[in-house]
Amino acid sequence: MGKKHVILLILLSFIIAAADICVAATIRVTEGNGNIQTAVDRSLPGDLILINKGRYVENIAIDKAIHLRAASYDAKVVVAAKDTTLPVIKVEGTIGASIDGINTEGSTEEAGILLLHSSKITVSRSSASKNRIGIAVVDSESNTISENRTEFNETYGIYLERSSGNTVVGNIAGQNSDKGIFLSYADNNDIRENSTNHNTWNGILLWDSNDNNITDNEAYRNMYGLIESESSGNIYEDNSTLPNLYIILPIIMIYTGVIFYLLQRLIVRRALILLGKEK
Amino acid sequence: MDILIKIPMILASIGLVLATSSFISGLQLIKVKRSSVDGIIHRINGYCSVVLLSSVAISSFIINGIHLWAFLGWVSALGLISLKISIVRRRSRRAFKYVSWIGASMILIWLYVLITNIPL
Repeated sequence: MGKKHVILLILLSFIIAAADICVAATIRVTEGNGNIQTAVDRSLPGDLILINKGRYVENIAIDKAIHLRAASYDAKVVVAAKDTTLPVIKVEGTIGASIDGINTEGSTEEAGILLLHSSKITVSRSSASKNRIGIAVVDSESNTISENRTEFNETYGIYLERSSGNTVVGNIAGQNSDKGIFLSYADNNDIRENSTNHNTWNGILLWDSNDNNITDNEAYRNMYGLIESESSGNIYEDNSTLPNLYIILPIIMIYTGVIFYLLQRLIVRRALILLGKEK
Repeated sequence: MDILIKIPMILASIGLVLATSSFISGLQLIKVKRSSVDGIIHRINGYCSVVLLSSVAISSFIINGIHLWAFLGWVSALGLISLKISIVRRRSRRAFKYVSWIGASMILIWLYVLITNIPL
C-alpha cells in the first residue's frame, strides 16, 4: 500500500467519523409537551433523548441504538406504565442503546425495564419499583446493569433468563416480594457489589446457571442469602450473608442474660467464699 | 461486612445481656434485704452497661453523624441511668418503689438499640 492510499484511508475515516457526529442529535422531552415514545420514534441511532423532570404515563418501546437519559441526575424522571400488562420500557433487538437515570413503575404483569434479544445495552442509575419484575434481561448478551434500584417489586429485583456475558454491578435489589437477583439458565455473567437485602425469599438465586462470577455482594435478612440449584462452575467470593436475625437475636440475648445472671451469681458467691466474706 | 456496622450490633447484644442480668439482680436486691452477691453483680453490670451505652452512642455518631433526634435519644438514655443511680444513692424508700420500673425501661432501651443496630 502506497503513501497516497494511506492518506486517502485516513481522510476517509475522518469523513465517516464526522458524518457520524453530524447524524447524532439531542432531543429534549418535557412533561406535558409530547411524550417520550414520540421522541424515540423520531430519533435515529446514536441520538440522545434528554428527559426533563416530571411524571410520564406511557409504555416505551426502543428498537434502535439511542440513549435515553434524565436531563440531570437530581431531576426526578418517573415513567409509569400506561398499560400495566406491558413493560414500562422495552428494549428489543437492539445493540448499544442506553437508559440512564429513569425511574420506572407500575407494570404489574411485566418488568419495569425489559431487555429482550439485545446486546451491549447499558441500564444505569435508574430505578424499577412496584412492577412485577424490576429489570429483566431475556435472551440478551453483554449488557451492563449498574447502580440501579429495584425495590418493592412483586417478584424479582433483577432477573436474567437465558442471557450470558452480562455485568450486574452496584445495584440495590432489596425488599422485593420474592428474590433480589434471579439467574435462570443464565451463564457467564458477572454479578458484583450488589445489595440484595430484605427480600422475602432469596437474596441471589442461581437456577440452572453455570460459570457465573458472584463477588462482593450483600445478602442480609432474606429468608435464604445465596442459593444455587442445578448449577455448576459458579465462583463465589467475598459475599456477605446474614439471616433474618432482627426478631430472634433480642430474644436470644434476653435468655443469655438470664443464664449470664445465674453464672455470675455462682462465680461471685464462690469468690466471696474464697475471700472469706461469705459462708 | 463492614466492621463498623458489626461493632455496634455486638456491643448492643452484650448490653442487652448485661441489662437483663442487672435487672434480675436488682429485683433480687429489692426482695432480699442484704444480698452482697446480687449487689456486686448489679453494680458491675450497671457500670459496664453505662460504658457500653456510651461506646455505642459514640460509634453511632462516628458512623451516622450527629443528628438532633439521635442526640436527644442518647442523652435521654444516659439521663435515665443517672436518675436511677441517684435514686439508689439517696436510699429513699418511696423512690425505691419505682427503681424496678427504670430497670425494666433499661432493657427496653437496649432492645431498641439492638434492633436499630442490626444491619439491613
